[in-house]
Amino acid sequence: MATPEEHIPEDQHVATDLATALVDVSQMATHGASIVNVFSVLSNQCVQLLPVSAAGILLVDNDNSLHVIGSSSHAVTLLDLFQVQNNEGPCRECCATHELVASENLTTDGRWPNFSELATKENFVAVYALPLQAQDVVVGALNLFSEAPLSNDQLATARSLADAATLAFLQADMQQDRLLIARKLRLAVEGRNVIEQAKGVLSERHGISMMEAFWKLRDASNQRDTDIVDMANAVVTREIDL
Amino acid sequence: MPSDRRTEIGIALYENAAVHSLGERITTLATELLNADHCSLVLSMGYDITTITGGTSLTSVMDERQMVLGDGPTVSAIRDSTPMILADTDGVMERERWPLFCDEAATAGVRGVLSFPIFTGAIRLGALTAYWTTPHSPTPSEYSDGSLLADVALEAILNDLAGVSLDTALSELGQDVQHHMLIQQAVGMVSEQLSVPILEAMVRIRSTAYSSHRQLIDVAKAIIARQETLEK
Repeated sequence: MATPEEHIPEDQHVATDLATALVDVSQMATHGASIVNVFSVLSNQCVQLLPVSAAGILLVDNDNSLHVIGSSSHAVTLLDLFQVQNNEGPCRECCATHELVASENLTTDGRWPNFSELATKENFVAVYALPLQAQDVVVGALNLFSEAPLSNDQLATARSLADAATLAFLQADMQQDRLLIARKLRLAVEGRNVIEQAKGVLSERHGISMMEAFWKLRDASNQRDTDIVDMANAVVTREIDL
Repeated sequence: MPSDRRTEIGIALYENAAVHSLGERITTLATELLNADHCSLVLSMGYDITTITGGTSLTSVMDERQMVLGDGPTVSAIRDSTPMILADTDGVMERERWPLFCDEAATAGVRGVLSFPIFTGAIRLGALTAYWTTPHSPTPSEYSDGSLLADVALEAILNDLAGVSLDTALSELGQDVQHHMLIQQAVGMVSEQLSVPILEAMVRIRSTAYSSHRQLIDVAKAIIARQETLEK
């Protein structure tokens, strides 16, 4: 028996889901969620809405260094960290050129040999880096990893999500200047650092892995409806006993 | 990868290290890079101990008043861990944000302020503040130099606390080690192991690396792998 939902055409489903996702992202920013939080949600949305295995977000600091801000899986965090530390991979290129950088088959693509080898080990076949761009400033890149190439429509969806995240990041105000962008980038990076410090504290306290420590932190912030960066700060300063 | 500009600023900061104190060097360099009339460094390392180093008699008064009033861009920069721009003490927005401070600053002849927090993660060390006697909106290059200097100053202060030699500090200038995830994780672990505040944990890891002639990142990795425990 058909439920009413099944009468809705597939592409309409996708459009509705995308619209919901875009509203979610912009509402988060309006309600003062930290950038780390907004970008974590964005990377999860990419995995839900698109046939991608994983997504990661990197930001460019004001001295042009890249920082891993959010990702949907541990494997991608490591791949993104690899790009940062070894100055190799699609993200770095995307931030430099301000263009979409794509590789539909990493095994035959010779541009980033070490990065490709690592990504292939994780069963990723294709990789995409989309610029997070506002006016002429690139604030970072969205990295998508998939087991098959994406269609143009799917890439357009990814671009909408990236744009929404960038706007959320800039709080939808196109008047904002470079100074403010630099300021926000630094805040996002340091938010990430607070989380890392809190992971260290929790990992030591409970004898758990960094990954488990992150889950503990995330669950606590969800339960108490607190921003994850604020929760991390409270853990590090011992204002809260987790 | 840190920019050349960051390294340049770092080298400038370590010049004349034998003659002048770190506080003096940071504020002198800030005055030069930001085209400011006065600069000051406020450090709050303990819970209520605040030291004001470098700077001039005007900045001492301004910093002290901000601490007493609990109002002003330096106080906000430290509290919110984000740089604060006060372009004009007579501006409507500025007066709304820092009413008490704007009145006192204008009386003392201060018209523009820019304050950068010195911090990493949950470690809040203090702030570097520039003062102008005329209204001043910082240019992008002033702002970016100021951010980089605050970054380099953080490294220098941590090195100072950990007793790291000048040569080692200089050789590590280009590394931007502070932002490494693994170092931040190790700091959290040590803070829990030794029951010490996060700043002390960071200084302990740094001095361990220095005294055993290793890179900070290698010590951090050993701590995370639980191959190494720092002594109480």
